[in-house]
Amino acid sequence: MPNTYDLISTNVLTSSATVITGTLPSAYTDIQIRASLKSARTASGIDGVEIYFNNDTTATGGRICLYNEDGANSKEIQAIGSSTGKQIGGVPTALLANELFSQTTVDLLNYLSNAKKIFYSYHSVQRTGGATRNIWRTAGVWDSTAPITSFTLRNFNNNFVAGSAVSIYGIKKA
Amino acid sequence: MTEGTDLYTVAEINCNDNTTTYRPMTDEEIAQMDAMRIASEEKEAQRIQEETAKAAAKAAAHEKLAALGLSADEIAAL
Repeated sequence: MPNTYDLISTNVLTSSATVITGTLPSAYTDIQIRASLKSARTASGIDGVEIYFNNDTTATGGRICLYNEDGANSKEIQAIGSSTGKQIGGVPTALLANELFSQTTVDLLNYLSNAKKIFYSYHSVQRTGGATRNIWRTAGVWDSTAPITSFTLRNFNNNFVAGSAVSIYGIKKA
Repeated sequence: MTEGTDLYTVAEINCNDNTTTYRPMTDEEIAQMDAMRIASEEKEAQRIQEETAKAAAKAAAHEKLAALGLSADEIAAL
């Protein structure tokens, strides 16, 4: 029977936070991070969210992002060498009390290897105060050969609200 | 903590016992966050500026094509 992803942990914020960080266990071959996020900013729109690894905010990286807002196709590319190439999507603001949380999944395959790391994410969000929906599909590079031991999700503009949640899944080593 | 007003908080999740601890950022982390936020805002402003310029150029091109006698349907078909 093939290996599959097991739930490692689920954490729900009981208080707001600007960044969410977690240390990854080493007993797995691949990791999947699933996050349900909303920004505390009380204005219409969306706020940016990005991911970085091992608390490294300066290493070069890059990404290609396919982005769609209500059928308007567009793409956004940030080349290797960009220090701002870590955005994976946006989170809805808290202008409306019952606004949706964004849904985010980040795949880290072979995250302990000594090769440079590619990560994939898929992300959907509805823009608060408007009718638009956004879908992001991102392939990014963290330009480092260090094993990934931790991750950080950061809200560009404000805090993540209490109730935001992060679950970690992993495929156990044989 | 009041949501949205008290920035610079770190939520550290523990994958082993599902607990989360909260701490204020260090001065170094705050400086890092501020620099990243400014870079993000500059990038967003640049994106908006580029989109606005592109839309203006497109509108101007449509006007020129219309002045040449093309119909709206013909312009849209280009």
